[in-house]
This record gives sequence, C-alpha cells and structure tokens, in this order.
Amino acid sequence: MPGRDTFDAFVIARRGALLRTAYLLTGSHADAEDLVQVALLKAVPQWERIADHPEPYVRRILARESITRHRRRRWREVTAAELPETAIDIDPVDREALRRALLTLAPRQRAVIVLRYYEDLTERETAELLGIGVGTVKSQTRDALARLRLPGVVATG
Amino acid sequence: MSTLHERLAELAEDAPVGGALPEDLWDRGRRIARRRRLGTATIAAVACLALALVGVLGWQRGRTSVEPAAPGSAPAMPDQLYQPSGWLGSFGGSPGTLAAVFPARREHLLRSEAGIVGVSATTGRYGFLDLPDVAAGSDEVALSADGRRLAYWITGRTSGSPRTTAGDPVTGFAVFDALTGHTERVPIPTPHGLDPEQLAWSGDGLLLVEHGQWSGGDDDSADLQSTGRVMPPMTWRADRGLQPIEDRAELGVWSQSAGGHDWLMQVDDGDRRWAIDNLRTGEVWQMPQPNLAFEFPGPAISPEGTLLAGTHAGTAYSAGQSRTLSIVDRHGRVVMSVGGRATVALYWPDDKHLIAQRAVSADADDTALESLDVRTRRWTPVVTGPGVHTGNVSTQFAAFDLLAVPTRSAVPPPRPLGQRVVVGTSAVIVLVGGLAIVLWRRRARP
Repeated sequence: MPGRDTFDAFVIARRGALLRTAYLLTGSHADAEDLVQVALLKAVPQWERIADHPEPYVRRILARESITRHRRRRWREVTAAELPETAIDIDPVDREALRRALLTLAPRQRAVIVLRYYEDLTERETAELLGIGVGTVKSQTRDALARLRLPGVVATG
Repeated sequence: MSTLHERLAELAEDAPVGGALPEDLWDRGRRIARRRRLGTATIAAVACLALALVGVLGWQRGRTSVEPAAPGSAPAMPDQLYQPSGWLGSFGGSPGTLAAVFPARREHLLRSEAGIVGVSATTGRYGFLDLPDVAAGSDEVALSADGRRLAYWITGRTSGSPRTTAGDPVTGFAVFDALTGHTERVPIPTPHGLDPEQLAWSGDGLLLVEHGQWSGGDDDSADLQSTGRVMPPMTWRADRGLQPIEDRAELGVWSQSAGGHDWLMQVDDGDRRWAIDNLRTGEVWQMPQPNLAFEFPGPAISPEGTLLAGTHAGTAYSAGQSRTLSIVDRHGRVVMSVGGRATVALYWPDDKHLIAQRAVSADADDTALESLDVRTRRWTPVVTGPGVHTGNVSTQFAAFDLLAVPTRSAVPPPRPLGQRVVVGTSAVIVLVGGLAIVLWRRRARP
C-alpha cells in the first residue's frame, strides 16, 4: 500500500518544481513555501488514490489554492481600485518588474498565465485544472496579456 | 527577442529552494484529514439526530393513544369534545357511528381546504371524513341523532353559467353513511348554483332541505349574481328520495326531538301564529306566536310537540353573555324562563329533559352540553368541549341519541406536527448542518 515512503520520495523529487510554480503564482518566497506545504498536506489524505501519478492533483490544488486564498484573505493583492488604468511596460531584463507586473493581475489571470506559458498546458488542460471553461481561459489570457505589455516578448502557445 | 515562457522560467529561478523538508508533513496531513472527517461526521450525526427527533416528535404527536375498540363495543358519547387539529389524518373509509362532527380547515403542505372532522363513537378517535365533493366553506352539515348519517352540501356542474364568487357552485347535497362509508349524492337541478340554507335530520331518517337558487352566474351582471329566490323546502329520505313540502313556504325550524316525530314549525304566517306540523301523521297544531324573539338557532320542540325551548336576549349570541332560556307550551305561554350563561337549546331527549349548549366561561370555545331537568330546573353537565359557538354552524353536530346512554371517558385527539413545520424544520436542519460542515472544513484547513 503506498504511504509515507512514496510521499516523501515525491516531495523530495518535485518540491523544487512546485516551489517555482508557486512562486510565480504568489510572487513571494514565504507564500510560495506555504502554498506548496498546504498543497502537499491536502494531498496526504488522497495519497492512496493518487500515488501512482500525484503531480496533476498536487498542481491542481496549488493553482486553485492560490486563487481561493486570495478570495479569503485578499492577501498581497493590489485592490482593483489601485490597478493601473493602462498596461504596464516591463523592462525585458528586469525580473522584479515582471514579478510586480504579475502581481497586478487578478489571481485567476495570473494562474492562467503561469499554467499556459510556464507549465505549457493547453487551453483545455488549463481549464480542467482550474475548473473553469475554455472560453474563460481564452478571455482571461487575452486580458492578462493586454495588461502585461511585454516589449521584446513573444507570447507563444 | 524572448518568449513569455522564457521570461517566466527566468523569474521562477528566484523561487525559494525550500530548505529542509518538514519531517512531520505526512503525519500532519493525516491528523488534519482525521480532524476534518471527525468534525464532518459529528456535524452530520448531530443533523441526523435532529432530523430523527423531528420525525419521532411528528410521529409521537400524530399517534393516538386510543385503544382499538373491542368488537361489538357499543357507541357512546365521549364526556369531552376537543377542538381538532387541521393536520389530523383521515378515517379512510367508514369511521363507524359518529359521536360528533366539526367543520375544520384541513391543512396540506401547500394549501388548506374545508373539511369535516368526525369523532368515532366506538373508539373516540378523531379524523377527517372523506366526503366527496364537499362544498368549500359550507359549515352547514347535519349529523343524524343516531350518529350514522351525515348530510352535507356538494359541488358539481350547473346547467348555466356557474356562480363561483364563493367557490365552486353548490349543486345538491349528499348523505354519508358512517357505517358503510357509502355516499349518496342527491343533485338538485340548478342553472347557477344553490344558496345552501339548512340541512336537518329528524328522528327517523327524514332530512329537511332548505335552499335558494342564485339568479345569475359569472357571466351575468353583479346584480343577478347577488340575488336569488328562496325555494320551497323539501324532505329527503333514502327510500323515497326528494319530495317538496306542500304549502309550507315559511319554514323556520326543524324539530330535533327524539322518538322519530317529524315536527316542523312554520313561522310568521301573517297572523303572528305558528304551526306545529307532524309530517308523518299530518297533524297540525296552530298556536299564537309567543311574545318572545327567539334567536338562531330557533326553538327545539319536545318529542310530543308540547314544549318549545329557545333563547332570547335581543342581542347577538356571544359566549359569556347572559341569555334567557324560555320554554313555551302549545298555547304560546311561557312555562319556564332560566337566565344565566349563554345557551343554545339543542335537543329534547324526552319531554322532561332539554339538552343545551352552555358557555362555561367567557371563552367562546369553552362550552359544555348540559341537561336541564324542566321539573327541577337543575342543570347537569353531560359533555364538555368546543361544540358550536357561532350562529353559522349547524346545531346537529352531535349524535344526540347517544346521550341516552352513559358517556365514555374521552381521550384527547393527537396534535400532529404540521407538514409545514416538519418540512421547514428539516430544511433548516439540513441547511445549518451543511453550513456548519462547510465552515468546519474551512476552519480545519491545513
């Protein structure tokens, strides 16, 4: 029966990758670590069922938790009233500028951008993972990219 | 030129490396899951318990403590009558001899309707009677003195435009046999509907039927809809059907005397005279109208037709009011007057005793059936209970023949929880339980 050993092995193997995704979703080291920990804790009760292929389940928790956390705590978000009216020009070599720009997006827009352009998921995969419609993924992607004016950057995928 | 993927991958390089792996991650996850499961199960169990309590309470309040009647047990009047609940069940067929009936609103989950509650004379059980086509809002029912037959007005089809301002049009009456459960419908041809006036039994299965005919239906003018014609009274008996009563256009009161005497009283024939008429023998006794204003319900006539008892006060009937009960003889002379609590003269079991309903307090529902010994003027309580307390309800609400035998100790009818209360409470429990589970699972998040 799969248990602690396989869980620990998965954490050791995939924690770094999960932290990278979580960092893009949260923009904060502490929040990223917390988010990954929560996703792993939530995976424990389901481990028997998902042990053979746990990554999709954990990533789904990761993405959805990043959105619901925002709803619950409005944490670290700039309120809509403070959002810039116009798109943000980002220095192509400035990582911090990109991080700040991501934080200006709504949590779901940010999750869509991360899943589509970092995790390279298709629109359908993104929609299934977030539990939303494909049309919503498309519109959220369009709006997010319009807000993030990225000079010298090509949005592929 | 770089892709967004490349830019995000570069930014992801800034992610924390995570440091040492928390050793108790697995155990914490298991503990949290256990807490969530335990809390959820506890809340669900409490909600189930609450639902079960509602169910048990509903069952407990809906059950009756009446023991099944022994085979062949004799019918008797309970010593107390209770105001029935609108959520009582139905007898579902033949209830057996009835001790009393009450008009009551029959409640359902989303509606209520007019209904008649019966009280079994053999078991004391209360239940709604299944009366086909009973006219809504018609409290004018008549229970025969032996408790077997119940006459009530019915609705049906009219030959012309129906008058529906007071509900479905009345198109006749029906007689429900409580012993067999059989209902005999007696339609009365009507173009727009009948204006029900009175149904009253005499001692040997003869029913007096008084009604009017409305002059217009829904398709006619308001004037026609609000006017009608008083029709000649008729009698009905199972073996000979409906028959008009000749030359008695001003019928007033139907006798409820024991012994099968069909006494009929004709009021105000123009010469301030009354006529007491035995329909069976044809004997008619003319008498001067007493100098008293008898009120509804009118005077009751003794079995031999020698005495009339009624109340009069010059004011509308109201429980608790002092009203005078007077008894007059065939010559219109007052032979006895008894003051006191509000009283309705109902029935003469014999020529020496009068059954009357008397208020026992200022509460209109708090009444009793009492027996007056006309020789001693003493009142003796017979049955306590709600009985009749408005002028719109028939005086034939009880099987008065049963008063000739000793009463039986009454058992209160069940007070079932209303379906609306049960459904509403259950919905609230499910809602609160669901909400509590959601809140608990949020609280017990990692």
